[in-house]
Amino acid sequence: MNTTRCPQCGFKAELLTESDFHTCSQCRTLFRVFGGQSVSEQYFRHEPNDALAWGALIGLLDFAGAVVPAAPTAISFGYHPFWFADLDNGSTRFKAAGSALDGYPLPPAPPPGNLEFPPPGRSFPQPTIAPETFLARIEAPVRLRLLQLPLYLITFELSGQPCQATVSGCTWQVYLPNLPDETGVHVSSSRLLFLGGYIALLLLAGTLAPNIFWRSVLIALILLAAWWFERSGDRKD
Amino acid sequence: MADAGFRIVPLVCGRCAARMTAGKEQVAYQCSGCGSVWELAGGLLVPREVDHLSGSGDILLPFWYASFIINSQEGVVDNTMIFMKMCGSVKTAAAPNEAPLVFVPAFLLPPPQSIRLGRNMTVRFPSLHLSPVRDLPVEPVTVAEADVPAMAELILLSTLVEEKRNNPLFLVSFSVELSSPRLVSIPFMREGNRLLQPEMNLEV
Amino acid sequence: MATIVFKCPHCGGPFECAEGDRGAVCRFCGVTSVISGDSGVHRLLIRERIDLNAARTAVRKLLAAGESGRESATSFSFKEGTLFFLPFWRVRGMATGWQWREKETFREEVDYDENGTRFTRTVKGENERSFSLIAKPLDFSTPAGEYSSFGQMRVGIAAAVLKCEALDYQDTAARGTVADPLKGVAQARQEALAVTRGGGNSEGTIRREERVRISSEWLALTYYPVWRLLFTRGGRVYPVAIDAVNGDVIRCQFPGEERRERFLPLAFIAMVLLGWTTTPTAGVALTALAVYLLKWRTGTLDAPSIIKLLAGTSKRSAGVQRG
Repeated sequence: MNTTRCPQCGFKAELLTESDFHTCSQCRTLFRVFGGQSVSEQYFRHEPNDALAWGALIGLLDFAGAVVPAAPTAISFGYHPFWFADLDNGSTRFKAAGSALDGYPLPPAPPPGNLEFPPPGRSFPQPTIAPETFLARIEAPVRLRLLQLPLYLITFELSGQPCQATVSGCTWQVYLPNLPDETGVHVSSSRLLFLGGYIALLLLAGTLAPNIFWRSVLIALILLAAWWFERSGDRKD
Repeated sequence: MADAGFRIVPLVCGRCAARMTAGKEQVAYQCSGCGSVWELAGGLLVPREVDHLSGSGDILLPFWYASFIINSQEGVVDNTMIFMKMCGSVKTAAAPNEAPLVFVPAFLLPPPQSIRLGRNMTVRFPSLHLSPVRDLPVEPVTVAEADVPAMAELILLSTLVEEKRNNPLFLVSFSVELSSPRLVSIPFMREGNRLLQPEMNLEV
Repeated sequence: MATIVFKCPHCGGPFECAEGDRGAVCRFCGVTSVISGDSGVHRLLIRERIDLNAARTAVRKLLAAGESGRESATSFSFKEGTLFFLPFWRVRGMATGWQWREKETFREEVDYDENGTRFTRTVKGENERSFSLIAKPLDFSTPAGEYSSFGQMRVGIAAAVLKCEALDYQDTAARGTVADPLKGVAQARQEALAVTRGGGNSEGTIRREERVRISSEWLALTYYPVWRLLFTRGGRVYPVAIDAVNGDVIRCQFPGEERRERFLPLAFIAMVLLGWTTTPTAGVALTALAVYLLKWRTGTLDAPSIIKLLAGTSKRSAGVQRG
């Protein structure tokens, strides 16, 4: 008969069934067994909100002085498994347990929040990195946990270059790689259109006006109209 | 969430059910009714045996004492004679083959003074002439039994001759095994601001 | 030192004792009780002193005090706020042990060369060895998790002067999110001992051996309240962390207000075109005037600055940042 230890309370548990899921007879914690290693699974409760995650990212870009993209190329919310080991010497180890995050910046440590055991019937993504691989270079783990982190994976364009960012659903903290250097001056197409129309009108008025008086009056009127138009556009923003 | 960890225990003597009092720093409590001493350990009041040293005095100061064995790169120190050699003493031990004793002051004293007093008592190798229960109350015990090993190690290190203290290999290999510590009350005489123990030539 | 409030086991009255004290007398019934923490780690709570409205006001005040003042304070909208109780390890006790050091020493020696000229040289002396016993009080606080998104909190100081109470998880969780400690106590102990060992002059030290441990340990997890507020502007979200005890904004990153030249670029274009549509001479003269005014306004005549001004690219005032 196989035996293991409850990852929550350390009580010796006999694995009576072939199932991966077991309940500790001491503390009633549901835990899983991966290749003989007992693991407790915990998650951070979160209500998905893509708009807030995108807002947190563009808020940070805005503060950094970057040109804020109008919309994300893609945004996806999901729970992502991370291995978290408490070691004998009191330190901890934390690492992504799946490959879905490849290419995205990763949180260096678990976020602050209330960890809960998954309710019955709720399933989370499975780790693709085995616990043995994670524990390969770790001596004497006291407790191994599989933490399910609510994360938003966002791809967007910055200065014409594709970028990837991760936003934590627990604290809305944004994890970003180094931003690409912005060179040159970025002028929006709407602004170019407005300036083009304004210059065309001025040229038309300047060439069609019969004399300097009417030319000045017309150009002054166009200037005032353009100014009023721009101010009203700003107010709308 | 784990256990909040707090347990508030009313101080009631387990032998005679009398109420006991406690000072802020106190860790062991003496019943004024039956004289028994209790220490809080593992959330419970557990009795601690107290020996009383015979002699005259008007204040009883508590000390923890325990026999010890020192292990180091130079070998094992498990009797008084070898320990005397290790700490450079030229005295003749009364019982050279007996296990040596270390004394840790158990009352409130700043750490440097506590180490000095413990050292002086330890290297004087007092022979313990115990007396029946004393009528005087013992001064409050402020050092818990659990903290005796750490203090005992410091006191024993302070007894070492300079040559050993300057030898890092010796220091790294130095470790102390203690027997179960016991409390002993030692009578001291008040003399102005000082407390004297004339038989052991000690001063606090 | 913090005061911890309990219920007296005898009469149920409020029972106060200082953090680390082992016993106290109930001032209602006179019974002495002792506090046992042996069964686990003490979990203490520092209760929040400011509510959500006060936290919002603190942020508004900070924004109003910034460069853009009132304009900035009103441009950000409050979205939502959550109270977090963040656990911090608190280790008190006595650091006891020993330390042995070996130091290089150097001395100045006077000598003469073959011409009889006096000179001094530095000669290596005998290594200096020192042994010291360590027995000093320890009082250390460290976050029990990674809280960089909340900024720096001076919990050690706060926990030493404020009233704490035993954590009632259900009651506290009803008011906010009680974060789980994700740093082990052994790690907190190691950090505390590292701080103890860190003292002293280590210059010239070539070897150091030491053994320090904590005795008379008093260990607690102190839960500290922090508001996490979200402010928005134009779809952008700005998280803010506010100390829920003293109302200090401990972390925020608000960008400055955008300032855009609206009239000037349009006027420059109009002036240049008025000139060139009149006569070439007028065109040259008004273009020269425009260039002069541009130089006066932007302080430079480099192409990107001129394009930015004409394109109406906004300038930004200094933002408000904490933490």
